[in-house]
Amino acid sequence: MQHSVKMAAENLDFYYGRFRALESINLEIPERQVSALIGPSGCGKSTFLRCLNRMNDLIPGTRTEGAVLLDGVKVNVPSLDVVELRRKVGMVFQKPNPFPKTIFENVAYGLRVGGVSDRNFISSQVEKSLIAAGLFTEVKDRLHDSALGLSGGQQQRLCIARAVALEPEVLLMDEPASALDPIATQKIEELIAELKRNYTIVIVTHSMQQAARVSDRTAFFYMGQLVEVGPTEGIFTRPAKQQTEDYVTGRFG
Amino acid sequence: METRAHFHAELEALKGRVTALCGLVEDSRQGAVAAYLGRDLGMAKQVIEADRVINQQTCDIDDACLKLLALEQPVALDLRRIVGYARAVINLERLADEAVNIAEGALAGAGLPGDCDGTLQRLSEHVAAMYALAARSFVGDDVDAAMEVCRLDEQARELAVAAMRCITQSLSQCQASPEDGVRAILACRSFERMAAHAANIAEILVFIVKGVVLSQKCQPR
Repeated sequence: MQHSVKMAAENLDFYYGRFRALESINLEIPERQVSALIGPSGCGKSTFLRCLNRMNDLIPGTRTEGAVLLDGVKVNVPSLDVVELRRKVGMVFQKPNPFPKTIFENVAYGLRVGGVSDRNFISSQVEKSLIAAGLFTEVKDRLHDSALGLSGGQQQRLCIARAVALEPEVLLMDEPASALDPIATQKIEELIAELKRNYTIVIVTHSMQQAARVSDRTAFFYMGQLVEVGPTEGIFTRPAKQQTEDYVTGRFG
Repeated sequence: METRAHFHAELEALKGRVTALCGLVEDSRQGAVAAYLGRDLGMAKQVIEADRVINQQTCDIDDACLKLLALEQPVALDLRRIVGYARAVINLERLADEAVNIAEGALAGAGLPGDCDGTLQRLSEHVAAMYALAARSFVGDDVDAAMEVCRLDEQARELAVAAMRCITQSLSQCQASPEDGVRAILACRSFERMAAHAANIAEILVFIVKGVVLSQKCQPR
């Protein structure tokens, strides 16, 4: 099945001061697919992920050249409302970071900040988001307890629910399971498979097995360059580039 | 920096075991030819006896492949290598089974009907060349040699058909006993199967090195 392009990078360069962290990246992110970004530490995969919703704007001395497109519209332009971009392109981080509020309020937070005040709508959206994050049955009787009392895996799924509540079009995940135990990791991976029905997902992971399990396409980054991108099955069975082969088989790292 | 040195050392050791099995199977193949065409009954018994070792080695290598798949979660070339070894040993074990079939035919007193020695000799030599090339390609990751084996398979079929035609003609002209004729046809069939297994081993090597699955006639599927 052909998936249309949801996001794309065109000749994208990114600089931390004078250091060029990304070099001429051309990459398409297909809609309602999971795209995994792999590569050794410092290769630029997280930097690239953060270019997609302009999280790097928060770091002083950085700049981008080239284009990041969402539905064909360039988003790395000063005139674009970055809050609106981040509503459409949500993000889940490596370490679960719930607010010191109740479970309900964590999920409702983005809606309230966005100006939504209809209680019924917020309630239904919180429930819907917790269901989508696979957490509702575990927390439905303690929605007004502190989110900090949840386990690490539950907190991470709460963060996913918080992102989903704003009905984004794209979900960016930066090593979402690296701080979790194997069971919690499996739940997150199952959740990703469910979420891709409705969302376009881009995930950075250091676990190649995780990339192989959850993603439809995999992109291999090395030293700021995109070495190879293609269907995940191909990357892990017969990669086209020797550099990719050497990396995924552990012949360098 | 090599980050999976221990795993890759295990993979090298596994390749050594497959190579050793190739040698044992070659011994059986040669023994079967000597037993059948040279009427060497002692050799026939040796081939049959050696099959137990080959079967055991096959099981051991298969177990080792399963263990590496489960524990090391290999990908790309490493994955293809382990899957390829597991597939190759099945073909090696079956090739040795065909050698046993030929040796059993020799023990049963098979004689060659009429003047069909030559055709069967040519078939066995062709199989010997195919197997030697297949084993060499496998040990040396030599895709060119493997492709040559694949191409030689068609000729093996033609030689087997010629040998079987010779035998059936001898039978129809009452130059051979029905028992000898049937055993000779079975031997032809076994040599033809040996050639097919050698071609399979060569195709597996191409899969390991190139990641391409070949179909019949040596074309990518």
